[in-house]
Amino acid sequence: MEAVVAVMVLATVLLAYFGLSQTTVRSVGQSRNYLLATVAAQNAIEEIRAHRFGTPLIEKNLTFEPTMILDGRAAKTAFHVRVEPDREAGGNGSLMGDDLKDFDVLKVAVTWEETEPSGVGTREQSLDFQLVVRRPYEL
Amino acid sequence: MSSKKTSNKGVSLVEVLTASAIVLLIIVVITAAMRVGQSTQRQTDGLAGLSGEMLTVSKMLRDDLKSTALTSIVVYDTVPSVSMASVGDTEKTNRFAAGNWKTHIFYVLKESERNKSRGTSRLIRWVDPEARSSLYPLPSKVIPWNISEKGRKKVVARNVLSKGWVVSGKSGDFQLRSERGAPGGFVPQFIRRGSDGEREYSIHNPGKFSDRDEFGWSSGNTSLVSVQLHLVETGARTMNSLELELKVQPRN
Repeated sequence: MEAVVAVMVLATVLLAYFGLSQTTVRSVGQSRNYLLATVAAQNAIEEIRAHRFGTPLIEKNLTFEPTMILDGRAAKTAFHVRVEPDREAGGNGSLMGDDLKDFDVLKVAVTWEETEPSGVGTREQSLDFQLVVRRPYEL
Repeated sequence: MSSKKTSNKGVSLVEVLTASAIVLLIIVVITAAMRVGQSTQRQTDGLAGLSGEMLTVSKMLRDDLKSTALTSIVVYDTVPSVSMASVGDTEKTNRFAAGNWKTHIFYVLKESERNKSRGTSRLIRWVDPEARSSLYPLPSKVIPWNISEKGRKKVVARNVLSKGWVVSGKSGDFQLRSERGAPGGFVPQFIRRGSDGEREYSIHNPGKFSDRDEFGWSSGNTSLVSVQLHLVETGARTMNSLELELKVQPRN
C-alpha cells in the first residue's frame, strides 16, 4: 500500500514537472513568434513607406520567413502580411489606386500559425495595427 | 525482567529485486525529466541571447539607414560592409532646415583572429572622425574595413556568421562549416526591379542612375535597402541561430 502511494505521489510530481516543461517550451515558441512578428511588421511598414502611392501593392513581397535554430532544432515560421483599407476608420484604398484621395487608412495584419497551448493542433495568431498614409507632395 | 523480541525475518530476493527495479525506474524518469528541463533552459537562454543581439543590431541599423539618404549608401561585398552619410545625433538640420550632413557611418563584418576557425565574426559600427560637414549627403570614399584608430567604434554584435561559412545539417545535428563563396551573416543590398518586373537584389545603388543612363531608381525601383542577418551562437552541446531580413527605407 505504501509503495503504491509513494509511486502515485512521484508520478504526480513528475507529470506536473513534464507539463511545466512543455508549457515553457510552448511559451518560448510563442514569444519567439511574437518577436519575429514585430520584425515582420516593421518590414511591412517600410515596404508601405517605400510603395509608390496609387499603384497596386504586391503582398508576396511582404511575406517574412526567418529561420531559427534553438538548441539544435530548426523552427521555420512563415509570417504573412495582409494590407487592406480600413473602411470603418475612413480608409478608401487610394494607396493601391482604388481611389484618387490623397490619404488612406490601412489595416495591417501579420498572421502566422503556431501550436495550440494544449499542444494539440495549430491555431492562427495575428498582430494587427492601423497605419495612416498620405500621397507624397509633388515638388 | 524484560524480554527482547527480535525478528528473524529477512528480506527476500523478490523484494530486493522489486525495490531495485523501482529505484531504477525512478532514476530513469528523473534523468529524463532533468534532460527535458535542461533542454528547455537551453532553448530559453538561446532565444534570449539571439533576440537580444538581433534587437540591438536591428535598432541601430534601422535608425542609421532611416536617417541617411539612399544616394549616399555604398555597399561592398569583398568584405561585407556598408557606408552611409549621417546627420549625427545632434543638430540634424542646418539653418535652412536641410539635412546637416556631418559625418559617415560604417558597418563592417570583421573576423577576429580568435574566432577565425569558429565561423563567427563581429559586426562593428564606426564613425568617421575625419569627415567634413557637407550640404549634400555624399557617399564616403573611405573603405569601411580600414577602421580608423581615432574613429568611435562599437561592436554591435559578436556572433554573426562569417563570410565563407554556412550552417548546414538537419534538425538535431546542425553545424558550422566553411563554404567557398558563401556571403556570410551580414549582407546589405538594394532592392531593385528587374527588367521582367520582378524584384532583384543588388549591391549597386539604384539612386545613382537616371532614366536616360540606365534602368534605375526613377524607372520604378523601390528605395528599400535589405539587410540579411544571420546570428549564430555555438556552445559545447548546443547551436542557436537566427536568420532574417530587415528592410529599411532611407530618406530620398
